[in-house]
Parts: sequence; structure tokens; C-alpha cells
Amino acid sequence: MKYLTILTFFISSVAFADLTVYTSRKEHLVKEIFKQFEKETSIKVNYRTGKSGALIQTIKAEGNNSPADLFMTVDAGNLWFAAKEGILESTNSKVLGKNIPSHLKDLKNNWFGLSVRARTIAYNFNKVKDGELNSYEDLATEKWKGRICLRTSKKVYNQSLVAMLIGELGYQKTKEVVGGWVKNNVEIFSNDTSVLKSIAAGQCDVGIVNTYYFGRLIKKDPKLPIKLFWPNQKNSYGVHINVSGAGIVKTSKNKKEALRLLEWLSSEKAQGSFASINMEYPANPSIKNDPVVNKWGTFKSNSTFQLTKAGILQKDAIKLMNEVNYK
Amino acid sequence: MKSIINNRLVLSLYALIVLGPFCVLVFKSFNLKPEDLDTWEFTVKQLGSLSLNSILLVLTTVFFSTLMGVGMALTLVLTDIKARKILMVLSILPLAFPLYVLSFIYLGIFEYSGFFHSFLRSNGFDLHVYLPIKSFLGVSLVFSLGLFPYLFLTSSNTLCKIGYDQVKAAMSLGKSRRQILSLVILPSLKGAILSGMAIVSLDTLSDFGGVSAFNYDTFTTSIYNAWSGLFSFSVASRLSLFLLVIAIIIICWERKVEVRAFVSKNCLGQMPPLFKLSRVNQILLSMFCWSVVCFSLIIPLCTLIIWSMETLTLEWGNHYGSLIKNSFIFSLVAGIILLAGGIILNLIQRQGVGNFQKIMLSFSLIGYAIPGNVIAVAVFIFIAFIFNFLGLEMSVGLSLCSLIVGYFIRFLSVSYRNFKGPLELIPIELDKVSLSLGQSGFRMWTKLHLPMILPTSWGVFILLFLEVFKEMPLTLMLRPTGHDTLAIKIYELTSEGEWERAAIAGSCLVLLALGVTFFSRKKFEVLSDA
Repeated sequence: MKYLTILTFFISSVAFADLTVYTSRKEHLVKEIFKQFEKETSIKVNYRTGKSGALIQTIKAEGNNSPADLFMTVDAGNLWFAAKEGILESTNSKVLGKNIPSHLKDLKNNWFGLSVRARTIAYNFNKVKDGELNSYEDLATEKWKGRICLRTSKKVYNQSLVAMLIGELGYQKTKEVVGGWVKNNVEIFSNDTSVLKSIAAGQCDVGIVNTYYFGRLIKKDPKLPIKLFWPNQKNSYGVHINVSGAGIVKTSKNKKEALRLLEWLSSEKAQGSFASINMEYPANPSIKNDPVVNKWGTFKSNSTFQLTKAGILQKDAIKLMNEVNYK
Repeated sequence: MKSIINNRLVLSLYALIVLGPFCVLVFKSFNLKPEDLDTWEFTVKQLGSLSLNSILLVLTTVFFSTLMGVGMALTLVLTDIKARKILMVLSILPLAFPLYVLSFIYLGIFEYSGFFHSFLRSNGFDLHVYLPIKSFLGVSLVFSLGLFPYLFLTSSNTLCKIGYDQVKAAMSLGKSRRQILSLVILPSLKGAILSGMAIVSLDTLSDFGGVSAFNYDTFTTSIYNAWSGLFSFSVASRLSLFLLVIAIIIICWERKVEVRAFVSKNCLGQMPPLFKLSRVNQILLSMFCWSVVCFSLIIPLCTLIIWSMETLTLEWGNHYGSLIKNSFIFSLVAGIILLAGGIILNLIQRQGVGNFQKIMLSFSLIGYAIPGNVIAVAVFIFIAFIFNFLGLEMSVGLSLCSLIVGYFIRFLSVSYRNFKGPLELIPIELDKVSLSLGQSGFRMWTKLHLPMILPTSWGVFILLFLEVFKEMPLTLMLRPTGHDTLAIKIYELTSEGEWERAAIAGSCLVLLALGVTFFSRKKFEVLSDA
């Protein structure tokens, strides 16, 4: 029995190779999750953080010698590009098929969304009347002149939002909408937190932000006069959502373990903490939201827009924003 | 002249290190895929306005930096302004601030929602429209506050070396202060000012972190857009080659300028101040110097510390020990290698080089003008190609080597320029005389050149140490797995909009850099015209 215990211990410690994850998610958002996985499975997870584009180039340059087993990043556009560059491998996993809804994963199963973020409207409740807000398109109307703050068009989150609008409304109509935002003397910021602070300070009345930036700021200063509004709810496509996700690297030498990590990340055990660590929504619909996130209310998300399309339409979105002088 | 170093061999080695990754850029830029073509067409349409933005930013930043750097240097070296020794040290310290950190601090203070305008509004003054920080002027002023110490260092150290006798002779001939400045001092200072201007230009040209915080679009914005937004590294490489050409033009222009220095053993730095200030001038110049110090050092430092206090319990932990350790190790190793690289390159140039070797030498210095991220990928692809060819896997040691190569390409120019000045102060005729008297080349080095270089070495090393210490994009991409630095931490938190948490890493980085700069302040005094 003693030998069996030793043998079991030995097998558990050496049977699984170390995993290496290349991730554009920041260290403080993944560290604890990976620790939890290590504890449960005895598979050690090494990770390398960096910018998405640079990590994709790294994996490509390393070729067959790449130590990367799993590629993890934010935004469907980046995941789509990684798949397009051929660095990800299609995975037919029943667990992932069951845990992740089809609109939050790649059509060819090259990548899977693991957490969901909504890009919605934030507003100053002292300056915006009830019923004044309606939709993304409505922000292009005259009544919002001089009242809008937006993040730069160079951020992928806005590129995905405009890509979604192109998918839903067509190029010309989207150009009118985004052009309308710009004509309303929009103030541009380099990040969502600055957009929210400017709304709170009264520089503008409304802005479009990712929900977790709102969560972080309100947690720090609950008295700020800002709230979230869910646009395009009635007879419309719903709030634009995006994902952070991951896929198995084609050249991985530890695909079995990489799949195990990916499945574990989509499971009940990990999903709650993976999403709540950044105040996001779990990709697995059977998992409850974090209580803080729940306070923001329920909403209809755009689940008809396949996120792969956000990547395909990203170039068009950038060109469109350039045409209407959205800086 | 008789060669001690085999120029061809050493320059070939440099060429392999520096030009290898740039060959990758050239290869990538001519290897456009069909889907890259419309990205290229789209990007080209914007290049006109973006280039204009870059040129304007470079010109105004150089203008303000020169005004601050050279103005401070002339005031502190030539006049009897009060507290000149303290001001001398404080003027060097802003070197500790990376441009992206300085940018996020100033935005945090002067944005509509920031402290400054909130305070004014609460007192009935809404001046945001008249004092917008997110403007062309705002970016160039903030950049100048971070970059003027380069011009201050180069100018003040050359000023200190100008011969006292020549200045006294001019005075006794009845020349006015203005004439002494224009006939004796400024001609000697020309080379130093141009060198400093070149560093400021190249730094501004290659910056991305700072301009993106201000949402001010420049040429580098188009490079990053092409890569991260339009998914074309080939187009980004092609655009980087444009920057490379501009860098070569700046370097060639700078090298064409002749330095005519009036040097002597009894130099200005060792003598009492040349000009005594009237009471009014004393007040005016003190206001100028202390304003520069206040805006470039005291305000940003205090802001960082206040922000850090707000999130200290949330963010501070043991992991900061390893972040600091890694920052120090990378900077130390890279600093020593870059120091040696710069000295060798200067000695090669002094031995006399042919036209082809001159071109190779210029190429070795262009890394400072290329955005760090682009260099990082080029270095990585080049090294990965060699490793794949040899069938090697990237270990921690090899990864560290590629990081050092990256730093070498990026900062060799800084090392080279800072040794160029002291060596240029020795007339080339002295070398010829020394050799004609039968001295060996090696003896000439040790007896003539090294004594001039050595006092400068510590200062140059600190400068290189600080550059690597602050560096972010190269470190982010090329660092060995699990070896994060303070600069990486700042990037990770600021890119998530966590400014206050980032301030802790920012404070650590700046305070440690300040410490290094402060304790080495005496060594900077012997730095010559970089």
C-alpha cells in the first residue's frame, strides 16, 4: 500500500507536463486562476504576458519549437486573427461544446470565449433624464451635441463595436451613426476610466464603456453620479458583447493538458472566479453572475452576432471610423 | 592611421547584431500578402497628415527642450544664480521619468476631471477650454519636460570644459557678454546642442506610449494601427523603414556638423561663475529654473506618491522584490555591454573609416528612432530564425540574450554619442603626433584616449542603466518567461486603466532611478557633449 501511495504520488507529479500559456490578459487577472488549476490538477502553469499581436508573431516565429500550449487574449477580433494566422488548433471537446454557447466561440472551434464583457452606455444621472437614452444609434442625434465622451477609435473594443454595427446595420447606415457621434463634438479619451471620470465630472453626459471599468471605478468611489444604461433592448439586437478567450496552440506538445486547462476554465469551478476577478460575465450560461455585477441589472445581449464576424469586419470598422474622422 | 581594432571585423559583428533584425523588417516589408495591399493603400492615404503631426511634434519638443536644457545649462554654469549646485542635480533627475509615465501623470492632473481643473471649477473658474492638456502644445510641453535633461547634460558638461583663458581674453579685449556668448561659448556648444537635439528628436519620433495617452496621432500611430488594428505586420515593417530613413538623415546631418571647441585645462567648470547677476536677473532666472524643476520633477513625483498611497495596501506585495531585482539585473548587464559597445564604436571611428564602413556605422545607431515594439519583433523573428535553424529551444538564458541584443540595438546610439564628445575634444592631430613619435596604437589609447573617456564612463553607464530601467516594449516582448520588471507592471496596470495601482510601480521605478541618478550626480558633471 505504501509503495502504491508513493507510485500514485510519483505519477501525479510527473505524468503531466508543465503548461505554458501565452496571454494578453494581465498577470493580476490570471495568476490566481492558474494557481487554483495547479492546486487541483498538479499541472504547473507557466505564463507569458504581452500584447496580443506581438504574442501571435512570437508563436509564429518560434514555429515548432514554441513552448506555447495555450493562447489566451481579449477581444474576438484578436482571437479571430490568431485563428486566421493558423496558430490555433480546432478542438472537438464535448465539455467545451456544452459549456460555451455557439455565439461565444469560433465557428471552427479554434477558440472559445471564457468571459463576457458588455460595451454599453454610461451616463451621469444628474444630467440625463429618464427615458432620454435609447440606443447606440440614438447617440448620433442632435440632442446629444456636446454631451458625448468616447474612447479612442484605436482601441480594439470600439473597433469591435463598430464591426458589430456594420454587421447589424450595414456599412452606410453605420457610417451615418458613427459620423453622427463625431459631429456631436465628441470628446475622445485614451481609456474607458477617463471617459467615466469625465462623465462624473460633468465634461459630458454619456459615453460608451466596458462594464468592468464602471465596476472598478464605482467600487473605489460609490458616490460618483454615474450609472449604466442597456441600449437597443426593445425590438433591437441588444447590447454589444465581446469575450476574452483562449485556444490550443497548433504546435503545442502538451495538447492533452492544454485541453484540460481550457475545459477547466469553462467549468463551474473556474468560471465564477475567472469572470468575477475582473467584474465580467461568465461565458458559461449556467454560472451565476458575481453579486456586484448582478446589481447592474439584467439585459438582452446581442447573441445573434457571431463574434468571429467582429474580426472579419474589423478592417472595415477602422476604415469607416477613419472616413468619419473618429480619432 | 594605424588600426588597433580590426574595423572590418568589428563593424561586421555590429552589422550582424544590428542589421540582422533590420533585414527581417526589410524582408517583411517587401513580402506583402494580397490582403495587406488594401491595408497599405489605406495607410498611405493617412501618412501625409500623420507625418506632419510627427514633424511638428519633433520641432516643438526640440524647441522647448532646447529652451529649457540649454537655458538652464547657460544659467547654472555661467552665472552666480543662487542654489546653483542643487539646481544642477535637480535638472538631471527628470531623466528618471519614462515619457509614458510623465504623460499619464500630467493627464491625471490637467484633464477636465483632474485635480487642477476640478479645483479651479470649485472656485468658479472653468478654464478647461483655454488650458487643454490634450493639445499639440500640451504633448510637446510634457515631452520637453521629460527630455530636456539630455540637452542640459550635453550642454552643461561641454560648457564646463570650455577654456577659461579664452573667455577672459575675450573679456579683456572689451567684448560684451553677448559677444562672448556668440563668439566663444556658442560655437563650442554647437556640437553638444545638436547631439542633444538629435537624441530628443529620435526619442520623440519613436515614442508611442506618450502620444497614445494623449490620443495625439503621429507616424508611430500608423505603425501600431497597421499591426494591431489592421493585422498587418508587413505594413508595419514597411512603415518602420520610413522612420529608419528619417533616423539616418538625422544622424548623418548631426555627424556633418563640425565641433569647434575652445578647450583648456583651466576650464569654466573649475572656475568661479563668469557672470554676476543683477538682482532683477537673479529673480527672473531663479523663477525660470525653479519652474522647470517644479514641473519636470517635483509635481510629477508628488502626484505619483499621492496616488501610490491610495492603493498601497491593495497593490504592494512581495512580488515587487522580484520586479525590482529583474529591473536591476537587466539594466546592469545591458548597461555594461552597451558601455563597451559605445567605446569600441567611437575608437573605430577615430581610427578612420571608409565610406562603406561609415554607412555601416550609421546603421548601427538607428535603433533609437524605431519604436521599441517593432525592434522587439524584428529581433525576435531574427533570433527565432537562427534558433529554429540550429534546432535550439528558447531557454531563459537564450531569451535573456535576445533581450540584451534588443537593448543593444535600441540604445547603442546613446552610448556612442556620450563618448563621442570627450573624444572629439582631443584634436586628431595629437593621435598623428603620438603615432609618429613611435607610440604604439594601444599605448596611445591607454595614455591619451582612455583618460578622457574613463571619467565619463560612470555617467554614461548610469544614463544607459536608466534607459534600460525605464524601457517597456522591448522588455515586454523579449524578457524570459516569469521575469517581469517594474516597467512591465506599469504597462499591465495602465493598459487596464488602473492608474493609481500603476503609480506604485511608477513610484518604485522613478524613486529607484532618482536614487541612482542622485548618488551618481557627481559623475554626470564630467559627461561631455553627448
